[in-house]
Amino acid sequence: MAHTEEFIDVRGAKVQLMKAGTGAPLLFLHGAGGIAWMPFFDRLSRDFTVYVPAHPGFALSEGLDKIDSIFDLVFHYVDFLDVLGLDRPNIVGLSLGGWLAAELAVHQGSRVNKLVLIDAVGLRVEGAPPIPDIFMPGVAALRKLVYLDPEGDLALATMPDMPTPAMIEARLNARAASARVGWNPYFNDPRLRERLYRIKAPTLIVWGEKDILVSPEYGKAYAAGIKGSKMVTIKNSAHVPPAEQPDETARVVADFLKS
Amino acid sequence: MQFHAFHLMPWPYLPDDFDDLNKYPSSWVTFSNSNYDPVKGHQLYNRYLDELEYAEELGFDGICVNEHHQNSYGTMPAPNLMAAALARRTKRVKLLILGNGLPLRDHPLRIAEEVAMLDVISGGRMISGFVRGIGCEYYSMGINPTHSRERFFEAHDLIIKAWTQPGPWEHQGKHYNLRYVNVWPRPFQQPHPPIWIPGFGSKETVDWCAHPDRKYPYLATFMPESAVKMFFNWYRAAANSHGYEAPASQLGHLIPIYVGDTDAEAKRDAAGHVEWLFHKGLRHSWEMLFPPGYTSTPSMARLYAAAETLDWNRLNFDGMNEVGLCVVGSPQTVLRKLIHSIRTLGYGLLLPLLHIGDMPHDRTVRSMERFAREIMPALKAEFKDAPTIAHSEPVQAGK
Repeated sequence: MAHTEEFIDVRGAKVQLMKAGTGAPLLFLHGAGGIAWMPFFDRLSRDFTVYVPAHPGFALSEGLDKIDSIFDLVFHYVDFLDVLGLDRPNIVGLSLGGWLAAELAVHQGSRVNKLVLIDAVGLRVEGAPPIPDIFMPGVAALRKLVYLDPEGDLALATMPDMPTPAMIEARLNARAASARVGWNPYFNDPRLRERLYRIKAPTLIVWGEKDILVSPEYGKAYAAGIKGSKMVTIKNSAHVPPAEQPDETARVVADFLKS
Repeated sequence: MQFHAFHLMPWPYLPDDFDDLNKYPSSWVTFSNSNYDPVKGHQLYNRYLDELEYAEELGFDGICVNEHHQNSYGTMPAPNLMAAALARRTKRVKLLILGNGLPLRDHPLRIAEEVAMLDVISGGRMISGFVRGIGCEYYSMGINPTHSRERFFEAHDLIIKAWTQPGPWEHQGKHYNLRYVNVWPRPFQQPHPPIWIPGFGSKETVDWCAHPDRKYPYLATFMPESAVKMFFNWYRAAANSHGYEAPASQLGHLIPIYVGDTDAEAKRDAAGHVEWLFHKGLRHSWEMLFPPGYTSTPSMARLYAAAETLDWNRLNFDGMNEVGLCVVGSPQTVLRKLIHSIRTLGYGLLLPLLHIGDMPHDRTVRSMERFAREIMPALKAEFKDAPTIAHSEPVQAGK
């Protein structure tokens, strides 16, 4: 299924937006690695109008100069929703995007229909395995943190040992834009956990069963903090279920959003 | 010509199996401080300070300390403390801090205060270097590297203003907000101590130094000669674009130098220490050296593509010697090479690193003595009139 690509203007910053499908709006918020169109989005676009923007500083989106914390990203996305005229979309966030989605639901609950958090960072959970540093390892070590099969086709296609110049540029931009909000404190908001009670949207927590980057214990902490939420684990997946298990993950997400 | 003795104060007592790169991928950030022995450290700090103090006796113009964190390459996380120790034990030499890592501190006024205190105590002998710190420090100190540049500039402007504009006044910035800026003491030197900028990789910094508002000396640090030439050409081109010729006194060369009695003896005595410096002292991955956003994406992409050429491990001593990463030889050889280098590159500030890597005290002192007695006077005589290289050919940015 074909998707469209366009640039929209969000308060003076050019934002890259990919889009496909018809139906209720679904906003996907990507992770620290960056964004490319995936089969996962094609599956979801059968039931939903899928909006996949690049965060400021990622891919071809501008506006990183206005982003110094996760809260600046929250404001950016409130503006983004206003520009698109989206009142209450479903919001699905992966990893860094999951953290962002949770903050959006805490601070701007009226703008969220249903919420899906996938292998989300954002919480500080005492006793849980610390989230490994993603900035220091080389690409081969990073693949091991992200993918269940670090030498498989998927891992090598997205994070090759010998990247093209365009991929190097995208990776460097993604590193900088992620560090902007996640360097210190390291991918968490110390206050988020005590504020999860504010999330009223029906919420599904989705986690790669074998995620060693952000252990499922973080998912359990989200589930415990968000009233009425439930958690589903995806088999044969590590940190990126939408890429590693697109069919199953899309089915779980779509079933929840349609229910 | 000015001569300023540089020191890193390295930790030389590495584990026997330190050559195992899998076990010890880095001597920075993650190399455990369980490898530091404070009893040996006590001897070492005092020995290193003795070496710097001896440089005054030998007639050097200045002695230099610097800031690095959590590593075995240089154990001076607080350079102002070292300068304080030296301020009371020396009488004449300039004291160079090369430099304070401005973005790494949460309070620029603390730097303004400490350097002003040092300047007053030393009777105006301070030369205040400012740096961003190398990439590794951002991992060690938890400072967001994507803010490195803007914190550097904001802190710099704040410190200079704090030294020169009578307080109290208010500062409202992005990274620092201060209702009352009113630094006591004021620096001894007026309007403020000279600012020198050590650098190792960015053209933006060169352009900023050369600006007529600043005219800060730029110190090319541990670079092969071809790179030094490129950076100095950038500096001269920037000065020229502002309508002035950059004098040699605004260009500095910071380089390991060992003077032996003969070439063969010098190589025998220094080669291992030079290799220690570049292979063990500067052991860090590309990702460590260039944390996210530390420089612009185009600069970083260039550096990423050149990662292999930046890997010092591919060069042994002979290779380093050949590209001009060090100067090692008999007094005659060192003198000949330096005269050639000063003539070709046109700098007026030479900052020799005379203690190199894990070099023992006696060897260090002998090399310092040979340098002071046989090299310094000869170079001062040779370049009584500062070498000038007029900016002639256009230099292309990014080349």
